[in-house]
Amino acid sequence: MKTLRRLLKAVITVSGFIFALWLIAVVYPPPGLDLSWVWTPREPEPVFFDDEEELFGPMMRRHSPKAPHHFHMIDEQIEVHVHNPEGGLSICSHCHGVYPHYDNEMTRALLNLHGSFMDCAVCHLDQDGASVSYAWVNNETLEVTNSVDGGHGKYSAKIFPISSGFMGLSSVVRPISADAEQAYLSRRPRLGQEENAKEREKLHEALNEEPLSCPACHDQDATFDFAALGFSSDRVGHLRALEVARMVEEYDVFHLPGMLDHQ
Amino acid sequence: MLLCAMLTMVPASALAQDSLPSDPENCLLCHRYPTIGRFMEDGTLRVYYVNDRMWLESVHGEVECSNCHEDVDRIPHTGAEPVDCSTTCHITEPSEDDYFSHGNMVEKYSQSVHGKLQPNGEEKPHAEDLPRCLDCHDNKVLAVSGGLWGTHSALSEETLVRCKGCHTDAQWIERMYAHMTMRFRRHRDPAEVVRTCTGCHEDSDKMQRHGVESVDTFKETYHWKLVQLGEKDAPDCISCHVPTGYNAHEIRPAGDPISPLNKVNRVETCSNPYGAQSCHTNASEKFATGRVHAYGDKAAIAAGVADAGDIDPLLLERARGSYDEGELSRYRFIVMLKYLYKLLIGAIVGTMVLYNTLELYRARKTAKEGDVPARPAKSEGSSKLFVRLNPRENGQHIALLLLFMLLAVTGFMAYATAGLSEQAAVRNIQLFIRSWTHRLAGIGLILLAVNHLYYVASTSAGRRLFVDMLPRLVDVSELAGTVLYYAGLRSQQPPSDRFNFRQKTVYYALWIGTTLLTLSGVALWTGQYLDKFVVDVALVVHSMEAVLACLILMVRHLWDVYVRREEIPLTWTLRVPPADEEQMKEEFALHYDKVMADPDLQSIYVWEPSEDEEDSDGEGAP
Repeated sequence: MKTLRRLLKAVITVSGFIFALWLIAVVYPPPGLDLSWVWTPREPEPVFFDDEEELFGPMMRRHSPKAPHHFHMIDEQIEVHVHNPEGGLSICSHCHGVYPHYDNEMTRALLNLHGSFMDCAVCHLDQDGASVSYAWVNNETLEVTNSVDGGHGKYSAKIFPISSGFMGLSSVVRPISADAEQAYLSRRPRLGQEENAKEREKLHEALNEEPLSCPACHDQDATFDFAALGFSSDRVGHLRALEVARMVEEYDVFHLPGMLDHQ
Repeated sequence: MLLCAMLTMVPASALAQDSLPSDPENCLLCHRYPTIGRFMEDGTLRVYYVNDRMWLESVHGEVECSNCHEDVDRIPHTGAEPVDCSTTCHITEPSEDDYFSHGNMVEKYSQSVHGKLQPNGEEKPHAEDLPRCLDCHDNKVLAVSGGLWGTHSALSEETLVRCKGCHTDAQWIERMYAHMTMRFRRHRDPAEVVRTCTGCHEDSDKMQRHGVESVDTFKETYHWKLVQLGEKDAPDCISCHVPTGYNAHEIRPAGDPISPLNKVNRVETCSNPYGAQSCHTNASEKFATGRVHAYGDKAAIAAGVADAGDIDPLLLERARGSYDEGELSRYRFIVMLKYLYKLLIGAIVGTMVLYNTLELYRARKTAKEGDVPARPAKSEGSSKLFVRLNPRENGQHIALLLLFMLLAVTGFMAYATAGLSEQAAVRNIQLFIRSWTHRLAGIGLILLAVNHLYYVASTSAGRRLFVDMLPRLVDVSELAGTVLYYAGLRSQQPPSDRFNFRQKTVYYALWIGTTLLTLSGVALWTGQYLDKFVVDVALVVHSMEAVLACLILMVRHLWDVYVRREEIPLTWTLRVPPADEEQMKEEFALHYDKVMADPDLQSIYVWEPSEDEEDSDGEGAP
């Protein structure tokens, strides 16, 4: 009984003390101490969508549960498929970011769009003498897969170069290993300019100085095997004959025809 | 080969391409890919991605890209101008059967307080600060909205069935129905409206350039509290700043005759008798013309208490012309009142903490020196017990304890909202219970005070309490003696009568506090019938008095009767138990001597654990 009374007394005393401190903090807000979480309520769920939301919501808004705050409807896919480091998958983006191409006005945005479904090594790997094919690698399991969900660059997997080994076993080609990258990043702050340039060059030695350009894939004579990646024959035809790729190759500026204008 | 065979199993749907009806130019061929974008030369990132599915279901889902991006005529699309929303697109506007344009709205907006041009046609200074369409608008998903009338028959499945009777294109019907139901009501909740406006209006530097103070002043209002709490009809910026009968693009300066802030329109603004959002339906003119936002930089400048050095000259000039002498007096009074309360609370709490420290120091010292007056072992048979509070007084004390706790909890809940539900419906119930519990407990406290006055006036025990509680000169010497004793300059604590000076202080503080809290509470409750200034003063008094009352009870009363003592001050029934002889001799020696010398007093104050104790009327007579 005595222990119980002491416990009760401790609880009342401590809570009374905290309450008194809080009251004092209300009157004399201490600089630098943020207590606003106590009196700033968490944002409530929207109050507008009630019963009718339940009735009509599924019918009217099949695909889009929430409007993103960007006029062009940038969605959470950007976060999920681009900024997600995905384990060891996007090593290059650690330094080069998600939008690495920046100098060629004609191609930079178009090349960047490939980043959500292709690893940099697909174009940038030095393939001299090497025998590589390409395959989808699942974003979560990091394993070669033949099951790809999603569409329009927002897939559950990315295309990687693959080398075939003994008994048909294949492995993902990584021109820069995660260990090498980490070792370089940890050393970099202590490196002088010259040393840094050397180390960087060494790190990138498995990469091709002249990466693949558009016709390597988007050309009637291209050898890139879209069908092996599961694309239908119609889609392969379309990808090989891609107008944009030819424009990029053949023009500095391509003026769009005005025949689609309404006026 | 094995790999190739496996990969042919990739579902065709995943890697298929299709196009949108609103994209004949096939812009989405590239722009549907999430990483299309680049860094600009200045380091800013431009993302050119369009989520095609969401776009299709958005308000602009049927508008073709080139309708807005008119000058994109080449690849790369360099040099394209920002979209002009007043341009004409190729959606047919049904009332005139012509191409649609936001030109009307842009025209009205250009004449508003946010428009870039002055009445003389010249560009306003710092016009680049003024919001463009996209600063406030995004491209909403065209979603069916309910809620204006709950499940009103106009918004029901039957309506849709009736539409489908004549119209045949299912997609058109869905879009039209969603459009209509969306436009029937405001589709931004108040918090979103405030967020939209504060995006600029909280930027103090930007506001100063335009002679406006930061809208932080809104965040000290009850209006903002309601917005934060997710109240559906909470007053946001639009509620008070958009003229009645106009839309949100037509906000005017406060001096404009149609501005809802203009003094001649204020009663209508607050009461909005014909509007969907009718708040202070009975607002008096004095209430409506009072201050709404808290006083901010402008009032401080006008009153000459702000450091003008850091303030933009335009704001200085505007501020100095904004307040008349009456308004300035009211501002000074509020500021002074808050300041005085802060001083008062600091002084009282500081004194109490000092007193507690001395008390603790003396108790420790006494215990260490071993000169504790030897308390004889309690002998139940011989030791008398003395009534501290009679049953009726005990009842009042218990009622006060419970009501005070209820008022404190429900009152401070208005500030400490961390425990509120995130679900609006549950939250509304919580808030309803909170506010009405607080008001009913307040009424209970008033009734208790009246009951106490009646008790004091009508019973002899009450009259004795009144007399024993009267402040006397001896209380001052008791205070001085106690301080000397605690400071070690006196060996004995001065003897007290029935109530010591501390108890008398708490008793009178309680009366003063209850009176002020009652008056200010009633003023807050009936605010719209009063002068707004009275309400503003009441708010300061109510909150500061509540803090002071709680601090006195926490820091002093709870400490004195509970924390520093071994004994429990209340029984399990919350009754203050009788004191034993030792406690009487120690704390109320004068009273003890009087009682022991007077048989009449003994019959009142010596506790008799009789069977009819509960029925005693407080007279203590057998």
